[in-house]
Amino acid sequence: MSIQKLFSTALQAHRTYLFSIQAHGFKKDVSRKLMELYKRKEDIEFGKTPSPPPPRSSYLEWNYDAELYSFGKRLGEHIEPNLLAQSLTQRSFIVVEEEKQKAVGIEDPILNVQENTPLVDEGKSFTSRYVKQYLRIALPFFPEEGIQSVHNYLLTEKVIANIASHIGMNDIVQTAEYPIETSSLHSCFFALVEAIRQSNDDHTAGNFVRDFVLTQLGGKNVNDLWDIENPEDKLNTIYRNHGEELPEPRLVGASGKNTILANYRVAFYNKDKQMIGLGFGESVQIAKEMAARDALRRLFRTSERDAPIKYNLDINTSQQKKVNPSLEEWNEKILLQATG
Amino acid sequence: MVFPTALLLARTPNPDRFWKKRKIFKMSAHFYGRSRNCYSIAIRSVHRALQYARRSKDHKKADSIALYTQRIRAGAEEHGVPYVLFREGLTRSNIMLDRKTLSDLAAWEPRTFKSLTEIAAAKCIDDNIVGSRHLEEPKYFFGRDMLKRFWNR
Amino acid sequence: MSAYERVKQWNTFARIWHIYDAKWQNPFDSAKVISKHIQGLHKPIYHPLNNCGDHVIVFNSRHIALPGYEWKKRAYFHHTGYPGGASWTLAWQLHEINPTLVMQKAVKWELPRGLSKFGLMARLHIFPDEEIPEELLKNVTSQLRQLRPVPRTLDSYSDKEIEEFPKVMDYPNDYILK
Repeated sequence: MSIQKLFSTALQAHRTYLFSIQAHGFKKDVSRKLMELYKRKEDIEFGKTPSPPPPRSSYLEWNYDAELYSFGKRLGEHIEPNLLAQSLTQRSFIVVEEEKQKAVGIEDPILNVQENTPLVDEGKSFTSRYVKQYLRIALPFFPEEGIQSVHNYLLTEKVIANIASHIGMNDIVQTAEYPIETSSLHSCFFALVEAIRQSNDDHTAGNFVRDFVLTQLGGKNVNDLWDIENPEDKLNTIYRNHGEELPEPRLVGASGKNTILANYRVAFYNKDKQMIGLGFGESVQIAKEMAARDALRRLFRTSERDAPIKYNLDINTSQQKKVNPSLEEWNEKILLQATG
Repeated sequence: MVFPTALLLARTPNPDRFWKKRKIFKMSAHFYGRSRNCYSIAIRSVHRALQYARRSKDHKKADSIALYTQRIRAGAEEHGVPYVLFREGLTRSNIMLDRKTLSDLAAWEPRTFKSLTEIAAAKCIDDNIVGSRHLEEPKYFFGRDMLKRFWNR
Repeated sequence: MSAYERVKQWNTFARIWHIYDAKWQNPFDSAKVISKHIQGLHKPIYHPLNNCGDHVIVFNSRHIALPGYEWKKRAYFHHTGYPGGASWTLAWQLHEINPTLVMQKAVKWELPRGLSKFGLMARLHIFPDEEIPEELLKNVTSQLRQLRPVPRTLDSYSDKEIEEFPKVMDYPNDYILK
C-alpha cells in the first residue's frame, strides 16, 4: 500500500515540478526512481518478504455497520438489521472476540451480536425443501432419484459458497479464519436465507432461493448431475410398467469398424417401430448404453429437444406437492394424466 | 517554450528517452532474441509487425468469408442444393441472413438449415432459375406456383 | 464433459470410409470429388485446422477413361536431379507400369499445396481392380456416386438382345460382311 502511494506521489511531485518550470518531458531520474520502486514492490509481493493482502476489515475507514446496511440494501430484500448481523456472524468469531476481551481483563465479556448457528440449520432445511419442491414442479417427469441428486448438487459447499462470494459475502462475514473458508460461506448463506424468511415470509425467502440457487442450473444439463446405473435395465423396467413389449436395440450405423476410430450408432425401437433413443460410441456396448440413456432422457422430458427449465415459477410453499415417482414405478401414462 | 536567456536554453536538460523507448518495448515484449530488448533492432521489428498486423486485418476478413462459404456450401450440398442456388433462393424469398449466421446454422442447427435449403429450393423451382430443374421438389414446403401445380394435378 | 456429450463429439468427428468405382470415369473430374472428401470440405464443421477428413477407397483404377487424346498426349515429367536426368512418360506408358498412378497423381494435384498433402494422401486407397482387402472393405459405410454412367460395350449384349434390337432393314442374303 505504502509503496503504491509512494509511486503516485513521486509521479505527482514530478508533474507539478514539470509545470512549474519549463522542461522537456519527465526528468531523467523519474524513470530510474520508478523502476527502483517497482523492484521493491516486486520483492515484497513475490520475493523476499511475502505478505498476503490484508483483510478489508483491517482498513482504517472500514465501517462494518455501514457495510452491513448497504449489503442488505444491495440484496433488494427487507431484512431486520439484528437478524442480518446475526446471520453473518460465525461462532468462531464470537469465541475469538470473547478471548480478546478476557485478555484485556474483562471478566464476563459482552458482545451485542449473536452467532448464526440456530439460523443455519433452519435456513438449510428451508432451502432444501424449497429446492426439491421447485424441481418437482419444474421437472414433473423427472424421477425422484434425479430430483434428489440435482438437489444435492445445488446444495453442495462449492456451489453455495460460489453464490455467496458473488453476492459479496467474502468480506462481510465475521469469522475467525482469514481468508474465509468455503464452509463458512456455505453456512452463512443458509443463515441469510433464514434471516430473510424471518423478516418477511416463506414466499419472499423462496423467491430469493429461486433467483440465486436454482438459477445455477442455467447452462447445465440435469442429466449430467444424475448418474443412472444400468440404463438399459431401467428402460426395460419402465416398459414393463407400461405393460408394453421391451424396446429392441438395433445397430443403425457404423463406420471404420477395423480402425481405432470405429464409431457405432445404436438405436432403441419400440413395438410400433418408432425410434425412442439414439446413442453413439466406439463400441457397440457403449453405443447401446448411450442409446438407453437417450431414450430415458426423452421419456423424462429433459433431452435437448425439450424446453429448458423455467426460473420464473411461483411456488406456494405451504402447499405440499406429491413427490415425483421413483424410477422403479415411473409410468408415463399416469404422469400424463396427472399433468393434463 | 520560452527561454529568457541563451544560458537557460543551454541548461535545459535533455529529455528522458526512457518513455519513448518504453512504448516500443511494450510492443516487442513477446519477440525472440535481441529484437526484444535492443531498441534499434526492436523498433524495426515492431514496425514490421505493425505492418503485418494491418495487412492481417484484411486477410482475416477474407479468410472468414472463405470459411463461411465453404461451410454453407457443404451444408447445402448435403441436401442436394448447390451453393449458388441456395443463396439465390434465400435472397428471392427475402431471407436476409449473412454468411456467418448461415454457417453457424449449418454446423449447429442442422434441422433449421435443412428447412432453409427447402425454402431456397422451392423458390428456385418456382422462379425457374437456371439449374433448378435438377433440384428435388421439397416434400413439406410449397412455393406459390408449386401449390398451383399440385392443385391442378 | 458428460459421457453422452463425449460420444456425441466422437460421432461428429467419426471418420467415414467412402468407396468409389473408377470404372469408365474421368480421373481428373473424379479427383475433385475425392479430394473434397479427403479434406473434409463436404462437412459443415470444416476448418483448415480441424482434422475431419474422410477415407476414400478407389477401385477399378485400371479401367479409368481419359478424355480426348489424353492417353497419347499427356506426359508425366520426372527429373532425377542429375544432368540429363529428365524423363517424360506418356499417360498410357505410366498406366502400363502402374495402373494406380494416374489416379493417384490426379488426386495429389487437387489437394492444397504443402506438407498436409502427405497426411491427406494417406487417407486415399487405390486398387487397380475389384479386389479390395477384406479388412478395408469392412470399414466402408458410404459410396460416392459415379460422375457419369458406365457405357455398355457391344460384347456385353447377349445374342437375344441383339436379335430383338429394332432394325431399320436386314442385310440382303448375298451381302458379304467383312
